[in-house]
Amino acid sequence: MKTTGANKWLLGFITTVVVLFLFLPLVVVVVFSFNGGSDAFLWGGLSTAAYGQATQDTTLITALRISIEVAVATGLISMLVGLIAGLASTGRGWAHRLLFILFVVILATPEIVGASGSLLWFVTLGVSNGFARLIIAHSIFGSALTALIVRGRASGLEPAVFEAANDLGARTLTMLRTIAVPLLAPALIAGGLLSFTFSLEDLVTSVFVSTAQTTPLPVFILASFHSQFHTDIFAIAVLVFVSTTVMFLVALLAMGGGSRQRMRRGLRLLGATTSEPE
Amino acid sequence: MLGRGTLRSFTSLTYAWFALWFLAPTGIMLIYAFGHTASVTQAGLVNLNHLGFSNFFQALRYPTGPVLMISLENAVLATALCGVIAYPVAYFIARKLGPRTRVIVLLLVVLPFWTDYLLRMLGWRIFLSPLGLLYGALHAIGWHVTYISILDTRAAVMIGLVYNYVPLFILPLAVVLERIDPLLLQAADDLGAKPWTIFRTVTFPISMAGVVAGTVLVFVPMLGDYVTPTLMGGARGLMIGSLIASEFNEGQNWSLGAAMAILLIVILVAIVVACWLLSVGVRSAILRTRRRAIERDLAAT
Repeated sequence: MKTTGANKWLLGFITTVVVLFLFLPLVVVVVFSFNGGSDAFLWGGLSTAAYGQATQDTTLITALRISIEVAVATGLISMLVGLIAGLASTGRGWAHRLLFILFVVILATPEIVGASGSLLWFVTLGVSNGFARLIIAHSIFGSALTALIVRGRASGLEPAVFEAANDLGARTLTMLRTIAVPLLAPALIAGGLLSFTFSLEDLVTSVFVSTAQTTPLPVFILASFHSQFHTDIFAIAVLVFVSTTVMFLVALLAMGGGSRQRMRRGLRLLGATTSEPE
Repeated sequence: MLGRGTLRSFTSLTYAWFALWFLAPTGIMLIYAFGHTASVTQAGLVNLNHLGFSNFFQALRYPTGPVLMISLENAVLATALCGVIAYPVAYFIARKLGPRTRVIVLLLVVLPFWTDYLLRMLGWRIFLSPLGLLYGALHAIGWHVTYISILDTRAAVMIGLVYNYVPLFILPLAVVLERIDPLLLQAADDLGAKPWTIFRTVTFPISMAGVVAGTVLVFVPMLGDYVTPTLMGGARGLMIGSLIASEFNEGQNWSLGAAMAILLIVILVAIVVACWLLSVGVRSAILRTRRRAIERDLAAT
């Protein structure tokens, strides 16, 4: 196909502008985390004081700790349930196919609907522990996401491997431990990390189900948005941003199986899972 | 793949897990939507003795009804803007770049999207605030405005919505555009079609699948978004999601909140189905006109 030079430059220019647009608020926040002024929204000179303050602010640290604990539990539960659910959805027949549709429906449901449903259900069942509520509500999304990724990888595996193990008399647990888990490890790690980051940054579900005693970081930040806002929140946000970006890159690498060339496939897989509802 | 027995027990476990934590909550919300909230003193409790549609009627009246319309307007406009912005970007990524740079640019598009949502919104608030960075930047280039009045208006809501959702439009569109068979375009070129004609008659109709995917991916979460509008638009940023959240978190009228959530789902499903039908219609219309053009050309020769 022919490419006209002017066309390419125009498209490239638009893309550059859009990418800059996407990065703009991030750059602003990173810069403002080094703000020395007393007003968090007005520039008052360069300073790293905010990072020092962030480590002193106990409510902030507590919120971060709650977020991390919930996210770790969500990641682990999502891996376990995602493995079981993903393998279950690879079977033939309507019951297994319906599972796939269920995963997609869960991922496509507007978060506010799922969140309000979860709140009603927790109150009905009498689940009042904030940790349990957050972990369960986050794990629904996480496990459906992991299941889809596991399903994607499992369908690419050679069924003969499992049949052979079966013929050789391997027990279910042995087969899971020695064959399924190692072969599906990239999908499990990717799913677990994605669920971890989802949980760490989730706001909508957390606002609904969290309790006054267990306020995760995003809910805490939202609450301080209009009231007392300190620069140290920027500092914490930047630290969380750096760590989640690293997590995501690791997840992507794991998804592709580790090698650099395979990272492309991982990226495409990510595109495929997000475009699934269609 | 696994043994039959194992597969069966895995399937039951999976159904049990999602039935308990996804299907049951959704079901109870559906029931609650038909009940009515007892009284202010019994906050949160829903009386299920007299089931009826009253919550749905109330949800369509003032003030919920107009907010629902505004939400629809905002979401439609912002989705359209996302599409207009995403198309050239996706086209550039998918068709003008080598495999290696393509991955890098795609990563650049997705990277900010992986960061903390509140962080991004904070950045926008600093940037757009009346005497903020945009103000400073405009002054620096010699444009002396008194102050910037974008924050807490509908324009700010639009910026926030487009910003948060545009990567979701770019991704599926880029995937579809990348998968177009180069031979198809080569054939059109060999047959003497001009670049614009190739785009109009080959690339664009094929890319409709990506446009539909992008529209659905962006529109569905956007209509239910309640944090972006309130953070960017303040009091002017009321969308249906904010009302649902306030019924659950502050108003304590859970049956009304549930009814609004169900209404949201119904509207979304209707729009997604309409969108899909529309794309099928557009596609067949394009094919029809193309066939007619070919027949005309054949008749002329």
